[in-house]
Amino acid sequence: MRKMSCVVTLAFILLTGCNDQKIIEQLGIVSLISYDDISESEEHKMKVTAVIPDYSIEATSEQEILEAEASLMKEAEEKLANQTRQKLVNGQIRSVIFGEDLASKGIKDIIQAMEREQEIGSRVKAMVAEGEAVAILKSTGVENIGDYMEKMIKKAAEEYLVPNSDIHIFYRDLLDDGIDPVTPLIGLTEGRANLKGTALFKDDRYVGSLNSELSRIFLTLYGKVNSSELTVKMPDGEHMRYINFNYNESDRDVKVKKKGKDITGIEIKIDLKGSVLEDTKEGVISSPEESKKIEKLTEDYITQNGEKVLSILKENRTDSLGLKQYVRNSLSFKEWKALDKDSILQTTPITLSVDVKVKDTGMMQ
Amino acid sequence: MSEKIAPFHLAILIYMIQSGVTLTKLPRLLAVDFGTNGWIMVILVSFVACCNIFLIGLVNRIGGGKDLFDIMEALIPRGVMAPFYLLLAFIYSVLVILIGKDYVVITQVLSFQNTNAYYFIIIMLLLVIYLVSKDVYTITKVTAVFFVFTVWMTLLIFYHIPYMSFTRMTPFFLAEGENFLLGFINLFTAFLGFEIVVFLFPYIDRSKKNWFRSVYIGNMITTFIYLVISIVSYMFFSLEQLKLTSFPVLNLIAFIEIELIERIESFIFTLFLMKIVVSIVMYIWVAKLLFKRALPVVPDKWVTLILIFSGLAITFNANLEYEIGEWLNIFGLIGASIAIALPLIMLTVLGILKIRRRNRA
Amino acid sequence: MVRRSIKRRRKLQESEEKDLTNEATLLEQIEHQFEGCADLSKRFLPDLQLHLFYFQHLLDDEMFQTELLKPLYQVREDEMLTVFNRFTYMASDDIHEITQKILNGYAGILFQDKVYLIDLYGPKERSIEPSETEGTINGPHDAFVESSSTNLSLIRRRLKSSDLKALDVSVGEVTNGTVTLLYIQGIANEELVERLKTRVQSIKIDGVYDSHMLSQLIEDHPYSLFPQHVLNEKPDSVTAELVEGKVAILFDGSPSVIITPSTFFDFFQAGDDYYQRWLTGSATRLLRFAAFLITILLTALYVSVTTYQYEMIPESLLQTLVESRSRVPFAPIYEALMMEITLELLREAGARLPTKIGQTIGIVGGIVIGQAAVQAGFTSNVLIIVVASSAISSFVIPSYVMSASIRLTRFGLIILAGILGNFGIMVGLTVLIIHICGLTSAGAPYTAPLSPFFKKDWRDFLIRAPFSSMKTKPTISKSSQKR
Repeated sequence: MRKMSCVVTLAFILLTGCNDQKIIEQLGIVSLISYDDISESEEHKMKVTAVIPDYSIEATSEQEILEAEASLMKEAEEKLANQTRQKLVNGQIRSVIFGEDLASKGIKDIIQAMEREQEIGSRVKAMVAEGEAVAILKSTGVENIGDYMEKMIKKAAEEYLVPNSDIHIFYRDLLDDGIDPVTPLIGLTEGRANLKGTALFKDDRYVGSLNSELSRIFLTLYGKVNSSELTVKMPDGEHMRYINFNYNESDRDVKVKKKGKDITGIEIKIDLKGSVLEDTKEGVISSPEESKKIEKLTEDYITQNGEKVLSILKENRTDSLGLKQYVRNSLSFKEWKALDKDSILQTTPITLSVDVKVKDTGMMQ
Repeated sequence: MSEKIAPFHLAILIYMIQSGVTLTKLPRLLAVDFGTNGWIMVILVSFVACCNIFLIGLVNRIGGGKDLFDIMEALIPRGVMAPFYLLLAFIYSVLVILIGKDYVVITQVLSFQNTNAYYFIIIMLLLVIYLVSKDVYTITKVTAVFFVFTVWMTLLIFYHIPYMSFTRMTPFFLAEGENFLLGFINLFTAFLGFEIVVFLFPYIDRSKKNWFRSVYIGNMITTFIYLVISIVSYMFFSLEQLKLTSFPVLNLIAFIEIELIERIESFIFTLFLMKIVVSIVMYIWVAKLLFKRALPVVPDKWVTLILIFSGLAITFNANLEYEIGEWLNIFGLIGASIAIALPLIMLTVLGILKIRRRNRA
Repeated sequence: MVRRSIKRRRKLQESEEKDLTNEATLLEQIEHQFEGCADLSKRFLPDLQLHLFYFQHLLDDEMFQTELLKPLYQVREDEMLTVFNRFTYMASDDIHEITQKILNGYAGILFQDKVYLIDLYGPKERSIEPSETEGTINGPHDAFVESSSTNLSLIRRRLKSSDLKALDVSVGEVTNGTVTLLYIQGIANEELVERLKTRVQSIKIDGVYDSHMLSQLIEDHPYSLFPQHVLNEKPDSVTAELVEGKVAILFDGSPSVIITPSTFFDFFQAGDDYYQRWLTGSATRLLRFAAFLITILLTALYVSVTTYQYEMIPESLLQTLVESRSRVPFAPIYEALMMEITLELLREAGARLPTKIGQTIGIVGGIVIGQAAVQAGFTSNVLIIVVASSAISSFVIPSYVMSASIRLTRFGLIILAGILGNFGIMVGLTVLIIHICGLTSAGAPYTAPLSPFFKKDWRDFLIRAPFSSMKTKPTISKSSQKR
C-alpha cells in the first residue's frame, strides 16, 4: 500500500508536465516600456514601445526596441510579441515612461493594469517625459536604456532630486483622497536623457511641473529628507552670495490651525540641519554671527522658493504635498465628507516656517 | 503511541490551524467590510474567539478531560449520534478541501496560469494523506517544524517601516465599511481552528495543570500576527488601494527588494503550503475520528480516502475564484456555528448528566 | 543451526563411546571440531603427557612465552595440577566452551581428563592513529581502531569510573561477533540499555562486519533515507556522549562506535565545537546548518529560478545569468542534473582510487570538466559555481553517512524544482520534514530539541553555549540523573 502510493505519486508528478516554463534565455525580457498618445487616428489609441535588452553572448546589439499601436496594455503586448522570436515577459520591467500628452489625459488605466498583472512588480518606476516618450527610448549615447533609466531615477530619488515614483506609491497616492501623486519628469538635452524635475498630477492627469531647483525645495516640503544639498542664491549686501548647504537631517511637520470647526490655516514647519561646504563670501564663516547669517539666508531662500512651489501647486489645483491628509486627520468623518475638498487648499492660507541649523562648516573655519 | 502533546506544541498547533490563506487576504477583508482602522476589529473578534475558547475550557474543566464522544454517548446512544458524527465529518472535509482549493487558485494566479488546478490539488492532498497517516503526536512535531519554517515571514515587515505612515491610517473609526456583519463573520472564520481542541483532550499531556492556557496562547499568536499584518497594511496602502488589492500581504512581500533577490512573493507563498497542509490535516484527522466512531467497520486507510474523495466530489463545481469564495462563506459560517455550538451542546449534556446523577443519588 | 548440530553430535558421541576414556574423547572431539583448520597449532609434550591447542596468530607472543611455556617447562608432571589450579587457568570439559575459547584467543591444554584454558589473546592490530574520516584541529587526535579492547581502553582511560558498565552481546549466527554496550550506570537510562540489548540479541543474520551495518540492523526505521545513529571514531566524543547519558555500542572489528539515541542535529556536531571558544564554536555550528540548507536548496533554487521565476532575479544578476545560459543547449534541469551527477562521479572516483591517482581526479574534474564544459557551451558558469558551492557545503557536514543522505535528497529537490519550480521545492521540503519528524532513534524523537521542543537542550543545539550554562543532560537520553 505504502510503496504503491509512493510509486503512484512519483509517476504522477513526473509524467504530468507543466507548461508554465519560462526558461530564462528564451525570454524577451522587457526592461522599459513607454506609452504615447496617438488618439488623433482613433480614440484611446496608444503607441507602446518596449525595450528588450539582449544579453546573449552572440548578440549584435545591446538592445531591441519594439513598437506597437493598441488601446490596451495587454493588446499591445500581443502585438509586440509578434515582432520577436522570443517570448515576451513583463516580470523584469523596471521603469515605465508616459508621454506628456498621454499623461495629461490620465494614466489610471495603465497603472491599474500594471498593478493587476501578477508578473509586474510594484516597484516599477513611473515617469513622465517632456514631449514624446519614444524619443527618450531612442536617445543616443546609451547602450542599454532600460538599465540606464532605472539607475538614473533610483539614484536621483536616493539623493532627493526627484520624488520616489514606484507605481505602488503612485497608485497609493492616486487612490488616497488626501494627496495627489507626483513622478519625476525627464526630457532630452542634446539628445541625451536628462532629469528635468517633478511632474505634478491632479488625480491621474499630468497638470504641471517643477524644475530641478524647485524640486529639491518641493521634496523638503514633501517629507523627511535623509541627505541632500541646496545651492542658496541670495543677495548679501551688494553682492549675490552663493552657499552650498548640505543637509542630512530634515523634518517636515504640518499643522492645521482651526478656529472652532473652521480651518483657518495650514502651517508647514521644516527643520533642517546641515553643513556649509562652499561659500562665495571670503574669510571665516564659522563664527556664531556668520552662522546665524547663513542660517537666516538659507531660511529666506527656502521660504521664498517654497512659496513659489506652493503657488504653482495652487495654480494647478493639486495637492501634491498631501496637506489634505492632515486636514482630514483633524476633522471628524462627517465633516471631512461634507468638506469641499477641491477648494479647501485654494482658500486656506498656507504658511511656511523654516528653521535651519548650521552644524559645521566642513574642514575649514 | 504513549507520547502526549505538550502544551507548547498545542499552542503552535492551534496557531498553525488558525492561520492560513486568509492571512494573505485579511487586510482587504478588513478594509472592505469595516473601512478605516478596521484592524481594531481583529482585537474585538479575537476577544470573541477567546470567549468561545473559554466555553471549551469549561467543557474541559467540568467534563474532567473527557472528549466529545465520551460526553455525548453518556447521554445519547452511539447509534443515534452516528449520523451527526458523519455529517460533521463531511462538513469538515468539505471545508478543508475548499481551503486547499483556495490556496491552489492563488498559486495559479501567481505563477502557474496554464497548469491544471487539479494537478496541484492532488499533490497537496497526497501530502495530506502522507501526514495524516501518522499519529497525532507526530503531526504536532511536524507542525512545530513547519512553524519555524513559516513564522519568520512576519519579520519581513521590518523592511516596510520606512514606507509606512500614520497619516494614512486616518483617525476615523470604522467609517466607510460596507458590511459589518459579514465582515465580522469572515473575520471570525479566520480565527477558526481552536475548536479542534475538543477532540484533542485525550491526547494532551495533562501533567501541567494549566495546560489549557496554551489554547489561548495559540489564539494570541494568531491575533498578534493578524494585528501586525493589518496595521502594517493600513499604514502602507491607502484605504481605497487596500480595498482593491486582492492579496495585500503578497503585495507587501513583493515590495521587498534586496541586492541578492527580489519579488519573493511567489516563493514565500509556497511556504504557505505548510500552513495549509497542517490545517487540512488536522481537520481531516478529526473527520477521521468522527467517521471511525460512527462506522468502526471501515478499515483505517480507507477512511482518509473516503473523506477526501467525498470532499472533492461535493466541491466538484467550485473551481473559480468567486465560486470558491461563495462556498467558503457558506462553509465558514457553518464551521463558525459548529465552533460555538459544540461546547454549548457539550455543556448542556454535562449539565443534564449532573442533574441526573444528583437525582439518582 | 550449526551450534545445535554440534550439540547433537556430541551427545551421540557420548552415548556411543561410553567405554572410551574421557581424555581420548575430548582429544578426539577437539580434533574433530578443528578438522581442516590448518592454522590451529597442536603440540604434544610427551614428558608431561600434555596436548596444547591454540591459534598462534590470535595469541600475544610474549604472553605465550612467559605465561604458558615457561611454567610448563619448569614443572614436573606431578606439580601440573597445582599450576593449573591457579586463577589464570580455567578448567572445562565442555567441548563447545573449549572451541569458543580457543577461537577467542585462549590456549587449551589437555591434561588428564580436562582441558585447562588460559587467555593469551593478543592479535596483531593497527596502532592508534588519527582518524581519517573525522579530522579535528584542536583536541585529542587518537581514534578508535578495529579492536574492541583497545577501544575500551581508550574510553576507560578518559572515564575513570566504576559506573562505566560494559555488556557483551554476540551477534551474527556464523561470524559470532562481539558487541559491547557501554553506558554509565546512574546516568544512562537502564530501560534503554535493556531494550538495546534485546534488540541486538534478536538480530537474525549470518554475519555483521561493521558497526555501520550493526547500526542499520538496530535502527527504528530501516527503510528511511537518513541514518538514525551517530557513528563516531573519536574516544573523546564518545566519552562526552556517555557522560550525557547516552549508550555507546562497540563492535569488535570496527573503528566506529554507535551512539544512541541520536538526533538529526547531532550529525552536525563535531568535537571541535567544544574545544573552541564558545562563540567561535557556535559560529561554526551555525555555519554547518547554513551549509545544510545550501546543500539541499541552492541548485534546486537555481533550476527553479531559471526555469520559472525569472522575476526573482535582481537586475544586477540578470545579465550574468542570461549571458552564461545563452549558449547552453539544455533546459536548466538537465544541465543541473548533468553537473551534479558528474560531481558525484568525481567524488566517488576520488573515494575509490588510491590517493596517488586520486590527485589526477582533481585535475581532470577541475580543469577538464569545469573549464571545458563552460567553454564548449555545455553548462553555464553560474551553474558550476552553484554546484561546486553546494558540493563543498555538503562536505562540511561532519558525518559522511549523513552527508551522503543529504546529497541524495538534493537530487529529489532538483527534479521537483525542474517540474514545479518553487512549489516543487516546497513540496519536497514538506515531504522531507514530515519524514524526518516521523523518525525516532532508539525510541527518542529524531528532531529533538527543535520538535518536540526542549528548551534546556537549545544550549547545545544551534549554538554551543558556554560550559557554565550547560549543566543538564539532554532530554532525549532520558537520563535517570536529574540535574
